[in-house]
Amino acid sequence: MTDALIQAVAYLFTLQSLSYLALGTGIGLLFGAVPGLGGTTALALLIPLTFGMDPDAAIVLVGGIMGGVPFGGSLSAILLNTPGAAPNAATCFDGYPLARQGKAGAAIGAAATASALGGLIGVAFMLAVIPIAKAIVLLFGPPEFFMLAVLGLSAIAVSTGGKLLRGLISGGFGLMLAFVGFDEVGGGLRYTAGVEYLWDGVQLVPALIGLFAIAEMIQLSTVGGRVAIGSSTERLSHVFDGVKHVFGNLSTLLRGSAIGAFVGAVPGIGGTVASFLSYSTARQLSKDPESFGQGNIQGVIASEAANNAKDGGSLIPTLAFGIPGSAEMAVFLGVLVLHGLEPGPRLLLDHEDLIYGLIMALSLACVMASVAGLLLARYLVLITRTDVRYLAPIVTSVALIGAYALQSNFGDVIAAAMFGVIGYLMVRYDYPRITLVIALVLGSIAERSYHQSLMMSDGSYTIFFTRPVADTLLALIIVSLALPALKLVTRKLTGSGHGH
Amino acid sequence: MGTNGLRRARVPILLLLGMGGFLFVSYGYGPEERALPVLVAWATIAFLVLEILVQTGTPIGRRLEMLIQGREAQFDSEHAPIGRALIHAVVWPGLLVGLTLMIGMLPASFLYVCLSLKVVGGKPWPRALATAVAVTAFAWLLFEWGLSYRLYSGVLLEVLAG
Repeated sequence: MTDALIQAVAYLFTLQSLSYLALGTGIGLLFGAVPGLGGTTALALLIPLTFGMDPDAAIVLVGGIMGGVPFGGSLSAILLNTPGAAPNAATCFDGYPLARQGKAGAAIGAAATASALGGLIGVAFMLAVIPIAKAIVLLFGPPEFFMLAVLGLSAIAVSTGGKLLRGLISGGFGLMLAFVGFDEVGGGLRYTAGVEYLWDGVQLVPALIGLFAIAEMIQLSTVGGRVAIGSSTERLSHVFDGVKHVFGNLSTLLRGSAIGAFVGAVPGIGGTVASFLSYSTARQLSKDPESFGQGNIQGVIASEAANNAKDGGSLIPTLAFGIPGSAEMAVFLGVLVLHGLEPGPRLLLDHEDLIYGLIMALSLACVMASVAGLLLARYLVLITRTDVRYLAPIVTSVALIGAYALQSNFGDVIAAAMFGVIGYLMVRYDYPRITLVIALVLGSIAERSYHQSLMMSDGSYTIFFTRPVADTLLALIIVSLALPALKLVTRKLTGSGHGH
Repeated sequence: MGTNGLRRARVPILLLLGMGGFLFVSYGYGPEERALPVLVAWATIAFLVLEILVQTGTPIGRRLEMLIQGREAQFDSEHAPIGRALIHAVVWPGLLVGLTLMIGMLPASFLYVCLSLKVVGGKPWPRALATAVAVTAFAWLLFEWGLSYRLYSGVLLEVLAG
């Protein structure tokens, strides 16, 4: 292991590798920041370009992209309430309110630092877990995946700031949308109303672009002014305040990174669940949960740490078992296969130097992307000072082009616009968008796992209650749903205690 | 429950009707295909009924709010009339989608940005035109030139091309 690590470090710190890494990080930042593109698109587009490269160089380039994408996405999430990719959506909830308060610099500083440290913690987690990875992945079968999906939804509904019922209702409608399209179990089409575009289901990226980017622009258009409603005499940037906040909230950072790395390691769950779960956990454990969603910097730290740590985690099943943890990892598998590298346990044994090269590239890319973000933050916050009458048409038109570019399907443009209206109405009538998004992500996983579980148990529902990990997850679901009532009881007891 | 209570509950009532429709459609599918959708629909209907009770402000609704959300009942404030907001929400994005369908993405972006800046933003023509040119050039550089995407060219061009 030590030899391979030294070899990887020696290769990485050559001019050629550092150039590829910087290029990959730059591409990752750009693709991450433009809504609708994201890491999967970046990797998919670059697969043909890496063909002529040697595997080490290709892996360094890919590592750079994977390291740069999450932080790129957080920039547009903070500055425009437009997540570059789904996992950045949780960063919007507090990052954007901070930007509106004139504290975009602090939010970017916190996001950059949490991204870099979260990424490094995720990589450290990967290094530590690889030897025992197989046992952990095998603990999760279909019933556990189903429970994990339900836990994701319930925990996030609870975290919507006293709107549990509305969170659950939004989640219900999100699941309803997730059921649209081809049914994996029955093999037929459902809820498509004869619309061919819906055969593949409701697409996540146009939905995200509509719910966040377009809805926000509609909202801004109705009120006018600027994104930042803080006074123009405030300092343009409080970047290093954000850095300090991260070190002042180390428990949030560590907890978020641990959640990200762990959830990332579970195949098929992905960064969106990781960042939302980390966000909701930070909120639930906070002494001031009401401030979440209003511009609490812990919300930015929690979601960004998890979002970056998940990459290290999701490499575990990808490399060790050839099971991609996410769509991005599935494309990454394609890069490996293209270069003649067979993912699976043999990869760890036969190409140890490549694996460590990737790990080092990923770590360095996280740091490079964050340093670039910190240096550019002063200029990036200027976006929040722009008159929304300029910003709204520009963002709307670029967002719709981004929606189209993903699959070259005009239906995506219509879907993004429709979700824009839905998102605006949800904001207006105070229904949380988070649970709708998370339900869209988790819907197919939940349904597949549900049916697989019932097939395993010959139709008996006891399978969900008789396995230790599923039971633990069920207990967590019950606790998360009962948490508001439990808090109320605790408050009353404490209050009466004071009274006596 | 007074008129105010009903007005506050109009959104969950509309959603309840929508979910009822979804449930009705679901029962048209086979038992396996509808299993989870029906489960989700009934659960959501239960949540909607609870939300309606909460929003109507009846004593039972207030208790429910305390029990489920762990707080005193908080009712939605009255919203401003939705008419002007709907123009922003539906008309302008609808215009962009319609223009895109007819003349393609880049010309539609140009026209949309230019018109929006002039009509909604009240900006002078030269500034509106310059911004529209810059946005269109950025979109072309990034998507068509840089990423080699072929952006949608619109129905009109297809018709003209024969």
